[in-house]
Amino acid sequence: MHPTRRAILTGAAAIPLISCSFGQEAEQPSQAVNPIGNQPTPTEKNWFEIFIELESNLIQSVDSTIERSTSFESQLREIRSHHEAHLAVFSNSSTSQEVIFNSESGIGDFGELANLRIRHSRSLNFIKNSLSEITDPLLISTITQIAACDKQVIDQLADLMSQVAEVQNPPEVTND
Amino acid sequence: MTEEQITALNNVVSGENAAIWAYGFLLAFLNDADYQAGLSTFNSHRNARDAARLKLRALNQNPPRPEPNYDLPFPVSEANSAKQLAAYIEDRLSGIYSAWTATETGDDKTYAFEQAVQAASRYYFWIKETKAFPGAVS
Repeated sequence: MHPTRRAILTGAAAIPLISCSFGQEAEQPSQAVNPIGNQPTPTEKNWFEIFIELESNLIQSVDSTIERSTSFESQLREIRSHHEAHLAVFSNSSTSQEVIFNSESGIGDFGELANLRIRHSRSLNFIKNSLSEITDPLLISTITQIAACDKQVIDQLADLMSQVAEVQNPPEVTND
Repeated sequence: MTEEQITALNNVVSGENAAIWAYGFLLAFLNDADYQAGLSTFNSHRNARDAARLKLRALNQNPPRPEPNYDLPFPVSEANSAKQLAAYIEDRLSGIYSAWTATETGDDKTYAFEQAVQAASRYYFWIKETKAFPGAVS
């Protein structure tokens, strides 16, 4: 390790990273806060209904994937819990019951994960496109965080798809 | 330009200043496989900081200067804790950019939104974990 770096670490004048550069102003509403409040305006209510539908659909999609996919159940359940938390912000209640889909898509794990990834991309794009029409600061900050979660899930699903692809198409081993 | 916008933009500059310092520090601990990603992210934060500083200057504001030193939120002594620090920084920045998004309009709103999303993506990159509300401080 570079000696200057070590000196910085042990310096008495060190400033807490958390308190100095990421102050209280940056704090976001916790997921327990309901941005609807007690009396949402009609416009806000309309947006909340839209996001409730969006998150409900994503929960159904994840549930459907859990039903049909043979792998990654724990990861998929975590993704679902994220969307349930999003839903709770808008509706003050989460959908805990599992939605059972009996239809078989037959597209396999890779296809299921790809479909789920597309749905999350659509969700992210929808939020991005809706930004220009939403003016409530708390709602904007909340849906930006939801979009950020969508992006993390998109990245995670890409990783899971890579794992499936590697299992199905292992790299060729050569003797060269 | 409202007071809330200027405050949010100041927080972005302060946060990016800290991120630049933190990446400069944690790069020393990353293994070879992650070093280029760390270096690239370091440069991204420097560019983002400079862009935010220019916005403040254009508003006749004095951007906050980087602190001479920072305390780490937890000990960092090897590659894993270095990646935890990178993830910590990205998560906090995602929250800062979300807050800025909420104060802005037009192109700056979209830019702040994209920065919040990218920071969350880098959080996942470093520690392969997801959060329901990236950047939220409980």
